[in-house]
Amino acid sequence: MPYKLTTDQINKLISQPETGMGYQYVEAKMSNYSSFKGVVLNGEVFIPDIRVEKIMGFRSLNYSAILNEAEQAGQVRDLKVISKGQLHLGEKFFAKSAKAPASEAPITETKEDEVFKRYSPYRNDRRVTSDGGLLPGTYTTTEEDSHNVKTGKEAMDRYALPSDDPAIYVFTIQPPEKTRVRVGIVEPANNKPGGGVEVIFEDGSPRKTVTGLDTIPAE
Amino acid sequence: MKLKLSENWTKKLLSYPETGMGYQRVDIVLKSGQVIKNIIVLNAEELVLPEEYAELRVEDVSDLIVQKK
Repeated sequence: MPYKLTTDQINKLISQPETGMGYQYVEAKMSNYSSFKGVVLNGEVFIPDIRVEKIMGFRSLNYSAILNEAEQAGQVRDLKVISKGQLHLGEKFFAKSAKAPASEAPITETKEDEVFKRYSPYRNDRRVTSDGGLLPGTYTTTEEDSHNVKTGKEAMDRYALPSDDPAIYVFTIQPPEKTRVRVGIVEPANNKPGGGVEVIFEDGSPRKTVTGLDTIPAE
Repeated sequence: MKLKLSENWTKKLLSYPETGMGYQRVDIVLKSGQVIKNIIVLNAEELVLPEEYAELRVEDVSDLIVQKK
């Protein structure tokens, strides 16, 4: 059984280094005074080592499913991050499950000069404001991830877009430093595989931060 | 089939977060009281409806409820 952590425990963990991308190895003291080593995913859900293979070995069990299955916070009394050498788990499991969608990711802040892209089948994309900003709750991707996309059809597959029309229009977003975003991985949806990086601009992006329109080939 | 929404609906949808890049999922409440669940809206202005709702007009819509992802 996975266990959700309290806000205090989450804050304690996110102030410490990760063991790998999206996870930390920990030793947990439980409310019944038993003690387990195990892994914490995304700083918020603990899985004891003896349960890792059963919980995470299923090919289709994603992070959302693990969170849904988790016990409510309060079962874990205390946590201590341990070194990588103190525990030997199949890391392939964590790399897979750490890929939560952006809507479930914690809020982070953009860095100076960070660039994002938005693919759209619409020249008149309604989420881009007339003064060159983004409305709150608008999805984009990172510039780095956009290098995987050369055509509108590839954008539809990678970002699981539902439209029949290829997303050939590309907007470029250069938000100020410390703009609030959530970063995650696109889940399969709309009969598309997803797998790209998705970034939600929690409060949007201010005026004159969106440029374009660039176009890419449909196929 | 697609049904183009009027500007007042678009304005409402734009005040809510997206479900994914360029789209939202909504429940459509009709004036008859019927609710059509889990419908995609593209670019906050086009409902993507199953064929069985081919006769639906925008005037029949009473409310659009944006789903949380």
